[in-house]
Amino acid sequence: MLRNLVLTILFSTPALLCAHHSVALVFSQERITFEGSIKELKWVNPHSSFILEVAKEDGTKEEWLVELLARIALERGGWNLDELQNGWNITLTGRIGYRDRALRFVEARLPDGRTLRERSPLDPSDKKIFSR
Amino acid sequence: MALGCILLYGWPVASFGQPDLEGIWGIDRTLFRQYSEVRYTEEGQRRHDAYDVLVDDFSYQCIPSGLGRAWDEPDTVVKIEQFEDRVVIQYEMFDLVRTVYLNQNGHPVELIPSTVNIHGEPMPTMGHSIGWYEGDTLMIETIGYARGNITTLLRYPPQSMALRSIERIYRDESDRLVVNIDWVDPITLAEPLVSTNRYLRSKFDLTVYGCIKEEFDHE
Repeated sequence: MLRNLVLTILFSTPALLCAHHSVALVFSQERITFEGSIKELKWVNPHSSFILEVAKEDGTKEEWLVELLARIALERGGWNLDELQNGWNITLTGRIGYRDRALRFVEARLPDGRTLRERSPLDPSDKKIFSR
Repeated sequence: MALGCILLYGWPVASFGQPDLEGIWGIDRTLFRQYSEVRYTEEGQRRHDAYDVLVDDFSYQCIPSGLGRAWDEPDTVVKIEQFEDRVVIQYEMFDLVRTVYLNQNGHPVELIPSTVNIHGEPMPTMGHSIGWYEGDTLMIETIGYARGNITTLLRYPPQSMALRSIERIYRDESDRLVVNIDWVDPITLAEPLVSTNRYLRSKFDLTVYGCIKEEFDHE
């Protein structure tokens, strides 16, 4: 019965955009940089995310899903969740996903000129979150 | 220093004469997700090849793909509490509570999952576990798994309902927690898989993770 319950849940729900997975399995090593505007910021577990709205040369806009670490990991790693805000224009570098128009956050240059990076709370290195 | 303390005061033991494994632990990034080479059966290879992490990942439902995935988690903590008759392991990821009863006379006929989430919902991919101590080591045998994947980090070996695992959990000489697991699955694995993770005492408390699948969807 329990097995059937799990299978029912698994196959009856449409695929979602973000899940808790191996970065290596879901994103390539290839990086790309976009300028765009942040919207739909979600500080949640198992992955935080936002939409980056990118203006194309033909005047249309394209939306990219940008995935970050879990909220719990970002906060423990020293992020202040006010460091990114809906509506901000940023220059974002990310790893291209195997899913269409998905990016893994690598770093973002913020409106004040600082560059923001992730840092896992259990990362033993002293990698800095911000640089100029 | 840790070794000095052990020599001076003896190996730490919890109440009831058990080795002391209690605490809040975070993964040691110098030794984690160490898996032996995976050798699949024909069926295991078929299931592996059919798996699409972008679609099939149980994490989409806030469910661990398997026990290995719970132990492999890099960014959250694990809390262990020892009682006379049971060990309670709380995995912060997905707010999982796993209760392992000790010194049982085998598994029951009806294999109710030993792990539930914060809402009390059973997690069949984590199986049914019983435990016992062998010297300084907590041994846990788990069977009754639902289909899933032992882990989904870096690799995704499928698990069948025939999976049986044996965990050996102990503290090393530097006060680190070591979790060594043998995975035997005659349906998917041509030979046993062995995994090892090591954990350090965490400076973080266990918190409510709060995975709500509707919240992380942008669709």
